Amino acid sequence: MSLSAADRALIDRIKAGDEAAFLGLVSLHQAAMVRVAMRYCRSRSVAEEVVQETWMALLDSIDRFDGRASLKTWIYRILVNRSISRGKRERRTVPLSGLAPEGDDPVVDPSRFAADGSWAEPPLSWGTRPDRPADDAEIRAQVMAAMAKLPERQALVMALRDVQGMETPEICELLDITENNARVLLHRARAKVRNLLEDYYRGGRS
Amino acid sequence: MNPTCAEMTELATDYVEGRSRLTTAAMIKLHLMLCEHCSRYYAQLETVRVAAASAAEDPSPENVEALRARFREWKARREDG
Repeated sequence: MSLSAADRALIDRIKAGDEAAFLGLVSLHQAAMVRVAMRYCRSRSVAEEVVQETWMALLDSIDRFDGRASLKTWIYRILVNRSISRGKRERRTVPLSGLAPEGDDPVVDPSRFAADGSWAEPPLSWGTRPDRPADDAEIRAQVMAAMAKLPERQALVMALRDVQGMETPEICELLDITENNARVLLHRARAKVRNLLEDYYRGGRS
Repeated sequence: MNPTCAEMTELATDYVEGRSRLTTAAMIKLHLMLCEHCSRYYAQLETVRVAAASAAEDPSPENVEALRARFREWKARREDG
């Protein structure tokens, strides 16, 4: 993946000292970067420190950026390298591939299907309650709350794919996992978030 | 073979991500046309995906202020050098 025109323009603006361009880039990536760094660091505050260092490293080396990778890939490469060396110092490294494999149980409770595999208890509609139709802000808040309940690896892959819009091969390279790992993690994550929203709209809605 | 509804829930992510084989994708599309429950399930997954895409959290104000200060230092150094 090479540098897009938009990335190139953004880098030129940062080089010219455009503070808004730099802070815009920060707000786009910061939250996901903290998530990634937390894989390697013992606490959120250490992870945030590594992310701050990453931004400074990016500024200090911006003239040497050759544009062979996308800007995003470059940022995350700096981040992961720094996180790993920091994590080693703190003796915490949990490579994603070294963790227990995901289970392969179904993403939807099998008791919701009849013996022939058709729905016995079909998905509930969200927001048909006339007194309170679901709105985008509510759904967004529920999706974020549900993502916070996911197991770490699922939350990480879903955050990178769906929130940050990264392509799967980029995610695999970044986290050092196989395409199949990424596929399974994303599948389980999205299904679980949908299940949690369904629970919410079923009655727990408060 | 036409997938069952239970199978449809397991095929969803590959389908949405464009990784289903062509014959599988065609069967899924057909199933979705005929089955309102699975259509709803797939639509809800899409709702989740779209909501997540707009759910990027903002960095904490302290972090932004710290970076703003460091950016100004960096800029000043560049202009001097």
